[in-house]
Amino acid sequence: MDSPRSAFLAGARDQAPGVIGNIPFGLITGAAATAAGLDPLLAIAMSILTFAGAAQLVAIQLLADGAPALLIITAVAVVNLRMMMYSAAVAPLFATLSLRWKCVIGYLLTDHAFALTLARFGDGDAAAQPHRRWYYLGAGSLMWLVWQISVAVGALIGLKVPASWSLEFLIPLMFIALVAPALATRAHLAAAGTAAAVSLAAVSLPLKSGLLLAALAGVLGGLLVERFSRDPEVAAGP
Amino acid sequence: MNTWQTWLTLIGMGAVTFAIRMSFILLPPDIRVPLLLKRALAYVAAAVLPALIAPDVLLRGTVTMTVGSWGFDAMRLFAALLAAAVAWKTRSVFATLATGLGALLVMRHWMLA
Repeated sequence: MDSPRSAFLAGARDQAPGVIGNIPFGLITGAAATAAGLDPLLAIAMSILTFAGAAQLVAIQLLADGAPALLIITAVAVVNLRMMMYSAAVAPLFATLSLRWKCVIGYLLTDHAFALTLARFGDGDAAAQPHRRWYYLGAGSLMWLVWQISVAVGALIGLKVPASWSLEFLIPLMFIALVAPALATRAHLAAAGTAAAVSLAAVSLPLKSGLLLAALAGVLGGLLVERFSRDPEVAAGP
Repeated sequence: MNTWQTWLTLIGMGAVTFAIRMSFILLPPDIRVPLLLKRALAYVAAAVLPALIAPDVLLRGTVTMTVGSWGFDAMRLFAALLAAAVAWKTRSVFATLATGLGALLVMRHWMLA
């Protein structure tokens, strides 16, 4: 990583396994959009504008249900709120960059880019890593490119398999794969359990407000367990 | 929703997502973020995703099990739990998808046979 070019390639290389794992996610997202009656052009536009798989899937489901625009945008905000934590985590690494660079870094911020960048630079010395923005750009742009292609292919081709294959079940499975690494402590498990229970209990509430309610309850559950936990690992926090 | 309304929705989705991503990146370094907010944000992913998963797994399929007045799809539940165990152990997306979908299809086949 002694030149921008080698840093860019190193980032792309390190991100490759995550990128490959995301291909089925992208194909499913694109196919779900087509199955919901969304024009492939709109599915691709949504993907470029938001670049956030879980939020895209939720928006597609809501669009298919005929939900109003404001509700869809709110649900997308709730699903993507986790990125605010990622934003806080990577901000110190890129604090001295220009506004243009910051916009690029923000746009490319994903679960994967966050995890990779923190693992690589989280406790490092800034002066020793002058090219880390290029590393991030390599990781982020490879993810971006492959994601957009996967969604476009999924949207244009669709999933031409019988309904008995239950491929829509891949959507919650994808979310399960996404959330597993986040369940690191007892407090995180409490957040997950609380949110799941509240979302089930609140499923019939109007305007998908159950999602927001469940998210709030889950965060509260996590904070409470963290507060009262005797587990030193949890109490110390990351 | 007509086409231009859909476009406006998509642009709104993009704007709100970009704003969330930029939030702390744009924040001047001398502004201190309340610790409680930072701690709360650490639980958002762990809360939001299960809130999406639970109704999708339990309430969308065919009811095969009832608890009180609640009807569940037990096969989807078992398949999802198995997939969660694999996701936890392997951190592999492919293994998670294959286990979950495979388990569901095998159970369906076995139940219907």
